[in-house]
Amino acid sequence: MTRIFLTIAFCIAVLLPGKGTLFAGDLPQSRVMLHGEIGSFNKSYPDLQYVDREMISFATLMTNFGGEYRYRSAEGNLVGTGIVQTSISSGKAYNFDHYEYQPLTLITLPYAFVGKDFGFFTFEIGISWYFYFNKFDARNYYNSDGSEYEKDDAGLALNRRESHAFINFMTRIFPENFIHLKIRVCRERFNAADSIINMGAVFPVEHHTGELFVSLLPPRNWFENREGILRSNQRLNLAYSYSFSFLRIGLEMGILVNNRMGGEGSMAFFNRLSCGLFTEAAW
Amino acid sequence: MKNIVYRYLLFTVLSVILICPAITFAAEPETNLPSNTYKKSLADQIIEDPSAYSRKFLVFGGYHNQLYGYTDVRYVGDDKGDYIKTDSEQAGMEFYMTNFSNLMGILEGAGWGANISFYRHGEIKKRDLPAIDNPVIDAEEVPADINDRVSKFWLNMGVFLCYHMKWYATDLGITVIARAYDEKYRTKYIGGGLTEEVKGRGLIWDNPKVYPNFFLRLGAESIPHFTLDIFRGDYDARYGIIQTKLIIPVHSLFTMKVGAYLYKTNAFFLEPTVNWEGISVGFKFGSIMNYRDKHIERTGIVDSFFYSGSVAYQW
Repeated sequence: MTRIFLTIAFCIAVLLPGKGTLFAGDLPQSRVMLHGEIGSFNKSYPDLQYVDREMISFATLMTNFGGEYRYRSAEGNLVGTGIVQTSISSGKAYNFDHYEYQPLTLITLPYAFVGKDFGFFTFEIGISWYFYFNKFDARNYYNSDGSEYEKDDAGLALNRRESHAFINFMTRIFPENFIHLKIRVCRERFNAADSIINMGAVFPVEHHTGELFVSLLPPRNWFENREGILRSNQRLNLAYSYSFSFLRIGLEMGILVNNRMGGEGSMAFFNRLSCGLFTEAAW
Repeated sequence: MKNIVYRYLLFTVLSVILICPAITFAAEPETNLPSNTYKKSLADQIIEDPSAYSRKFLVFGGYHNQLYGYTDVRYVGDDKGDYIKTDSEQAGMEFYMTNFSNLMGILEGAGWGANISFYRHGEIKKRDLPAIDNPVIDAEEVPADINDRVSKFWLNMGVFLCYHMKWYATDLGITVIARAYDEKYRTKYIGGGLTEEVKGRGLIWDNPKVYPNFFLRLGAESIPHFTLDIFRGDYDARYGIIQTKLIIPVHSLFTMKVGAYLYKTNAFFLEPTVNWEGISVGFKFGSIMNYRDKHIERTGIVDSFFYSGSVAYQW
């Protein structure tokens, strides 16, 4: 145990004098962040060929794009806005006597925030609007003689059970140019289906930055998993980035560890993976 | 022996890590400050500086469509939800005053306030759902419970204590909700298991309920800041009991507020506000994103809109 502490302490001692100042006033005022990602959305269902109805899944393409702008005044006051769009393609799988469907789904998540950067840590809070659009089927209605007519058209529409508004939040403990911890609720780089809430450690060493973060479940999703509540999958992410003068370019990879949005079930290892690119400019 | 060496090494390294930055941070600000000026730290400002205004009077009014969701088994697929809408209006006012510094210096940001709001929605028109031959479905009417059809009125009255400082404000109080409904019809047994609708008793008071009210501001009013309120400000008495706003002062004459209802519905809204000499005139408009009703998954776009206006004077 002592050796582990010593190793950590030495790592900190080596990294601490590695980079510049720790005061907020000396840090960049504007920051733009862009990120894109490709992966799979896993739709689970009970396989009716089996007596025990084993849960299996099929994967559909999931892409994720987002951007965030943050302005910081010389006093460390913050204001910013961002948007993330997660697109889940439609798909279907044959299940004994019928098809299981995953409808085309678009989650558009704009957000805005304010806060204060104290240099050593930051406190940021704001509002997020989680717009969940999905392709609805046409709805047929019975005539009084038992025949049917199409009452509602099929089409992409806002799902007013799955859409939500909530408070976003971010805190960073320790300065940006030092080993730091980030707790992010709908902030910075995230996927609206996989990692709305995430917590991670960032390791900057000279021009290189490594990042390890895990996504957490929204509070109500801890206790129940059903339509009508804010849900999120959980995954483990690794990221690496390289800094130029005012630009940072990075690569990230994730692995799904807990499928909530599509239902819990067994899925292929490859279907759990996602990868993405991100860039950040600060001036 | 080996452990003792490790412990000494650990203490030495930790001491360097913890003490050196502390000395640097303690020394740095003093050397940077001009010797003839005193600038308060943020911690001092948070403790000492009161809010820019000590009194506020707010009047507001608004409109939304009140939706009543129900299940209609005449829809063929799995989604059997539908709804009936009715109009609803509300109006209210709020007043608070702070600065009890004549009692104690520390009470400069302390104060009290009260608010009142009135909300009503109209009668929900009965919808007759037809009988179907095959599959056999009996005719029915919705709302099935006659009490759900009547007009309803809410009168919310609150009092609260405030503590308003430059960098934050927090208020806490209680709100009493008195509800009345206009009973136009009653259902009466007429023998043989049959019923009929008869004239109701008119306006009837329901049992009042008591809830806490709350207001929180994080950040100074002169810069972009965050607010969260429960039964406070220009809240919606049915759809927006808990609301949150980001308030962005764009210009001395103009403030843009973006916000969300968090309970009972989820919604987004914009509230551009014009300010002049302490008077603020705002117009709030937005759309309900989630009705928290399992029957209401899709709505017409216009049905989900809401809007309200407010006038406030601060001095």
